[in-house]
Amino acid sequence: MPPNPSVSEAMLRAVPSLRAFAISLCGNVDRADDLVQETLLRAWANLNSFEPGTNMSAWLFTILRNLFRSEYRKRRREVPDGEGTYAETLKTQPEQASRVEFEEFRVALAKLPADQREALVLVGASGFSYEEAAGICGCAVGTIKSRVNRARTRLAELMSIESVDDFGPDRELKAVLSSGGGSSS
Amino acid sequence: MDDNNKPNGLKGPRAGPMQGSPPNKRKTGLTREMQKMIGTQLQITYNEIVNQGVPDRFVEFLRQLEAGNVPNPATDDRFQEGHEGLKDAGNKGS
Repeated sequence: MPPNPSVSEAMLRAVPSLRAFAISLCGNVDRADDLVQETLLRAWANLNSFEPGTNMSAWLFTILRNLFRSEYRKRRREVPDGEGTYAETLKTQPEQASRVEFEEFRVALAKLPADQREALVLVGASGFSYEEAAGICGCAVGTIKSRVNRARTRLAELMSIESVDDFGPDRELKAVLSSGGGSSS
Repeated sequence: MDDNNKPNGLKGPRAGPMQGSPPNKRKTGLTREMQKMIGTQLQITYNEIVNQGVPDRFVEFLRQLEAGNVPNPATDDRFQEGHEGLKDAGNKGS
């Protein structure tokens, strides 16, 4: 494999969002980092199957997601289910935001069915289009849309949202947003 | 189950907590405002990790890859079991 600086740079640039996606999938930072590293290794070993000019990030996400799925199938009986682990993983909280609100959100996110959670994260946080997310998950665009909708509805139910105010004071969210915390990548 | 019994569904924007109405959120779906709130929380949660940047181990790992110090997935036992992971991505490495 001839070293290609631009390829490795592109991979490095993708690492932060790959980690965020991996953590949302497996709910454990150490496992997520191992998953990202294995993704990079496999991508590197299979660079000949990457089409230059296409979306490297989407390609890496696809590899990571498939690795996780195959690993998950093997480990599902030995690994405790994801409830709560995602929240426990993320002890550091943004100072601007209400800790309780975010804790609640993370717990709810971890409780979503895996296919709904990955669809929601890909579209709602990773910044992929429905079409790209469908490519990454190997399913139809309509399936992704349906999963995202169900994920949102389920999240709201899990968080027992009875009014918008339950999310906490608007000013807190606005403070976070104005500090750049809410910008999409 | 119990969510069907909640007095306040996901109604119109700014619906007060005291305004009870029949639970119909499954049909009406989420309000735009609610979707925005969920989206915001999701992005903040996600970006919290993204903003951690690239941990050193990955910089070092890619340096190793570039240098050719790479465990070969085709021969390394650690990667045999997970090999199917690449098939769906259209990657069938030699």
